[in-house]
Amino acid sequence: MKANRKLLLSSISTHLSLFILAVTSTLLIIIVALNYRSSRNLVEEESIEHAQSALDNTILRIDNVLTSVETAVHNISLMVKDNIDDPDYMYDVTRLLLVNNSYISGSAVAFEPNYYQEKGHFYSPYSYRENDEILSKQLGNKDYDYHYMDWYQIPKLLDKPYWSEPYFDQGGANVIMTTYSYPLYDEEGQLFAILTADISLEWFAEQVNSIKTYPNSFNLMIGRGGTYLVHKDTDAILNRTMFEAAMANDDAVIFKTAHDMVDGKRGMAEYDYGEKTYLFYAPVAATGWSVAVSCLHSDIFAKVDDMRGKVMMVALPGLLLLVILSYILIKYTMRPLTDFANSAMEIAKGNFKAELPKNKKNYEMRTLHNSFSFMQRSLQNYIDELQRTTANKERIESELRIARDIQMGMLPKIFPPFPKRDDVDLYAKLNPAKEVGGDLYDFFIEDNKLHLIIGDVSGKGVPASLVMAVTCRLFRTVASSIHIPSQIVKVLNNAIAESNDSNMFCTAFVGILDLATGHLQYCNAGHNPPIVVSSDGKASFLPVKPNLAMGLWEDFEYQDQECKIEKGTNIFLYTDGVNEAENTKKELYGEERLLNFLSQHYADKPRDVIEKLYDDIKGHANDAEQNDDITMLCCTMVESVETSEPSTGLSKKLVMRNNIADIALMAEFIENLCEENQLPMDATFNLNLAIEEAVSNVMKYAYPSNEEHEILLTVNKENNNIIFELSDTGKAFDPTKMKDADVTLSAEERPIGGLGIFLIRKIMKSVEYKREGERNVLIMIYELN
Amino acid sequence: MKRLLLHILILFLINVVDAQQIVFTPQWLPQSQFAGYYVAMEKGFYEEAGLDVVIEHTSSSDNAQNRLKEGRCDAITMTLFDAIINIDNGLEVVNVLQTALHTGLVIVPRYDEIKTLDDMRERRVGIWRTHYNYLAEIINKDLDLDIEWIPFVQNINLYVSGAVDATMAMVYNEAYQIYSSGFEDMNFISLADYGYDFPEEGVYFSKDYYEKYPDKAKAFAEASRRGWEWAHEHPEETLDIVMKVIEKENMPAGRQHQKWMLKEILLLQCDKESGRPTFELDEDKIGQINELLVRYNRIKKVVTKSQITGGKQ
Amino acid sequence: MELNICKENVATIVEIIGRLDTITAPELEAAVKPLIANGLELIFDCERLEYISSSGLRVVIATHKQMTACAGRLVVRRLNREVKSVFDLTGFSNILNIED
Repeated sequence: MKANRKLLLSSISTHLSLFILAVTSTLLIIIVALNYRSSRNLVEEESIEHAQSALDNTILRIDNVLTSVETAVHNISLMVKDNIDDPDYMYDVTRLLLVNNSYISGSAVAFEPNYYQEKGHFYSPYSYRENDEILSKQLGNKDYDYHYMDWYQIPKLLDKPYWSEPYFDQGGANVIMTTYSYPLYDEEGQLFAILTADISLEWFAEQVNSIKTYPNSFNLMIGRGGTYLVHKDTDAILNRTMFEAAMANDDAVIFKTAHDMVDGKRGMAEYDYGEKTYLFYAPVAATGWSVAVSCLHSDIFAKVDDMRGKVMMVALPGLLLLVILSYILIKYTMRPLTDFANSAMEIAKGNFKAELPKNKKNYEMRTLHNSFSFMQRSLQNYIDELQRTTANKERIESELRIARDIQMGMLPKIFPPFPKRDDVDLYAKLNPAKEVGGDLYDFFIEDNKLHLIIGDVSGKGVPASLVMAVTCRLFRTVASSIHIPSQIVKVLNNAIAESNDSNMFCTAFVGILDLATGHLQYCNAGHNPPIVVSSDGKASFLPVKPNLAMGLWEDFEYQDQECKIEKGTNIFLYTDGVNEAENTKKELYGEERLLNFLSQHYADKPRDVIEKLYDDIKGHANDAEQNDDITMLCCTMVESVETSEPSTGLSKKLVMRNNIADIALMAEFIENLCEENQLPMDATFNLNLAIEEAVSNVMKYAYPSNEEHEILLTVNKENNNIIFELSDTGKAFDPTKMKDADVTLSAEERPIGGLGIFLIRKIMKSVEYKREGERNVLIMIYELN
Repeated sequence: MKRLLLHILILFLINVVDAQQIVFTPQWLPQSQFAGYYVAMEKGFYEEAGLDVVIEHTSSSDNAQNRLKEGRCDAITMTLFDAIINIDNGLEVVNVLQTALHTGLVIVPRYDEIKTLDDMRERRVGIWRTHYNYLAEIINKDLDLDIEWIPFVQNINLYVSGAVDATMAMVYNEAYQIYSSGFEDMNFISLADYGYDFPEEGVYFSKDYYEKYPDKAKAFAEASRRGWEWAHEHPEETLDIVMKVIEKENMPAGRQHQKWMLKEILLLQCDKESGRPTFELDEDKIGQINELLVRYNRIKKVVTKSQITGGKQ
Repeated sequence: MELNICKENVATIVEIIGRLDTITAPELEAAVKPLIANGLELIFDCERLEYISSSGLRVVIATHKQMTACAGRLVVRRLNREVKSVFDLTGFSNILNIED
């Protein structure tokens, strides 16, 4: 899951989609914001206009009514003046006013005290509506001195018509009234009466209240002193003033607005009681009242905000959809990339013929496809090339291996090489490095003289190995006729130098040891001086003249040397693979160590010396790769010891490597054995066969990993029996446990195997196996008849 | 026989009960002006004093003094000025409690150019029709102002409409109305500044009742005084009590107005130096009033303090 | 070991010279492999075969089986005394087509 999320987050599709989202959102936000802003402004303007026009309309209507009342009164006043001498007519006047004007609910003609003497102090004919009738009565009396009423006194004092401040009707029923007072003057300009018309404010209240602007709007009307005439809160009507409200809330804005309204101004105020509100106001000019209409910001902008909300509701899913779609689209377009990545993976695994995605929908993908395709082909070609080269190389290497085997085959391997002799013991070991090498050694005895050679061809590879082969064979041939070391070397030198374009050379040491006298004649050609270990353990280098390595200079004059070898002395020949054996720290084994070792092991037999020294060298090398052949040869002039040997005098040993090539050695060994013991032909054949089977079994089963190991064959004669002992250090393997082949089966039924042990049993008298420590030991006894 | 006796007993008891009921009429409509009495009612001070008090208000067509005269009530509130004039006129009343120590009368100019009383010379100034109208003459004559006094009945429309150049006002009543009509910078001219700082309200019993039930009257005075003292300590709650009374009487009331009124009323009850109400009737002030009234022939002869307070003290 | 291969009509003769042992047996095997053909008569001429070990026997028996499987046959000819005795010993004489 986590990997998936990480993948998602880092994907191109995600990045691009998010980028698109970011850009689009930003644009959208900007657009919406701008739009919203200007919408709001527009809406605001519109609302203001709307409210104001609603207000104006209402006021117009109110004004109309007021004006009509005023006009009616003015008209009727003429009637009063015309009928001034008929006091009683005044009742008719007032009644008429009522009859003709449904707005008017009451009317009076209130005279100055004692204007009509006969009428007295108070004379005020008054008509009013009651239910559907118009009634009349006398308004003024002792208890109601109308001369001091506002509706009388104020117009009198002001000398002009006056709309009174609204008041509660005395009849109760909470009806608010206002009275229009029209002062009447006689010819001298004296006031003689006030003509009044009462109208109920109900209608006005209705008008004001009917102004519907917005859901949360409220309307109000105030009088000259700021008293509420119309208010949504009926308690406030005629009870409280707008100034009081402003002061109670400590609101300077409202206070000022109230002032402006009372001053007859027209305008707009903004205040905030938790909710931002506009207040539009305009005066009712005739009466000095003022009407105000409020609207809440939130109402005005409700629609706009709502719109904004709707836009968001559409936009957000829209954006989400956009992100998803663009993600999908990009992913789809990018899919070839993942396919290409997969193809690349396939190709990397080795499948060069992997198919490339075929999506060629767009130019970039096509280009990518072509490049990939080209790369694929080049890779393929390169790999083919490489394979050919490698095959070649392998072929060459396998041939080299074969060559190496042939080389090794040339060297004498049978130890002890001279079992019949008791005056000399010799052992040699050549451990080749990986490649075909140039080390060689050889020895043979002729005329009681031991001929020795050890050599090291320069360079590596096939050329060196060819020189080694030639030198080896040539030594045998030359040394069997020329018995002077320097001359032998001379011949070899010329032979090598002659056909030598590549400056190959071969260092060598040739020696001829007279076994009877212990006289050693030798010639050194640029080789490591041999080491001589005396019978009392002193190891030293044999003094040698270096002369020149063979193969460099034709006809070089080599020089002999000679010395006497005592009995019991070890002569040790070696190549530089011994003293120059490196460990991982590039430290050499060294001549010092070599001398010490040989000195210590002065008493050992050559085989032990060499094997132990070899182990020591390997110990020093310690897993470092062997980069040069290690060649060692050790021979000793043996003190003749009277040893009681078995009466038969037959004792032979053969050491083989775990390599089928050594079967040839084994065959040769058996042949020699049979020849020496004068065994008949069929015995030779059979022994060869039996031993071959046994040995090849060991090679197959005891050393299955093909490592270099040794197989030892010892032969002893006892009376009429030849006892063969075959031993090895491989894994435990008992050939006697293998089932004999069933020779009665038909060809089809016959398994290919089991023949070996069958043949051995048939040929040998007895076959016995035992495991001795780490060794398999197979004892086969052949009966001579 | 027994039944008769029972009837007589009942009647007697009713009379006794009746006789014990005090009908109290403040001099105007329910308002904070009479807060102390409402408090005494509400808080049961009258009850504790063993009194059965009924507060009946007057109307715009009626007045408290008439009611007292006609025996429709037992006690009223009245200004000292009126009391002296009425006593001189033969109204038999007794002051049992003097609540106001100072005058609340002010004159409020309508136009900026009018700054002093002097500026009102020959100008129109509003004055109550039914109250304090003696002051009109006194001020004109005393200060030689020749003011044209325009009587108004009950509101400040004269002032607001600009029909007068100034108006008399009660600091606790009309002044508030003017203030709440948007006239902020009212340049009050207090009559006290011109030497007319005469205490106003007090509680007056009819002499009749006072002589018949002096203990009751005194108890009433005590309880009422308690009421006022409580009001001084608890103005907010007093305001609530006042509003309750007003609402009960179905009168339109503005709480702000009543609040203002209460504040001013309480202030008028306080001695200028100590800041505390004393409920004392100042003999010197009585003397000054007398002097003024005599000078302008409002009273025939001086009315003494002892006369006012019912012969006692 | 040496091998001489001679194709005649429907028969192919393989002359085996020398030793047919663990070392040389793979050579024979490799040489015979391309010769296997339908209906062929394959002849091993062993006149100069000196020695045979179990590895050699295996190659011979394997070849015999392959030839039989493709409707051909293997003939082993002119075995010497020692070699023949091995064939006898191992019972191969009964299976193979041995001719003198």
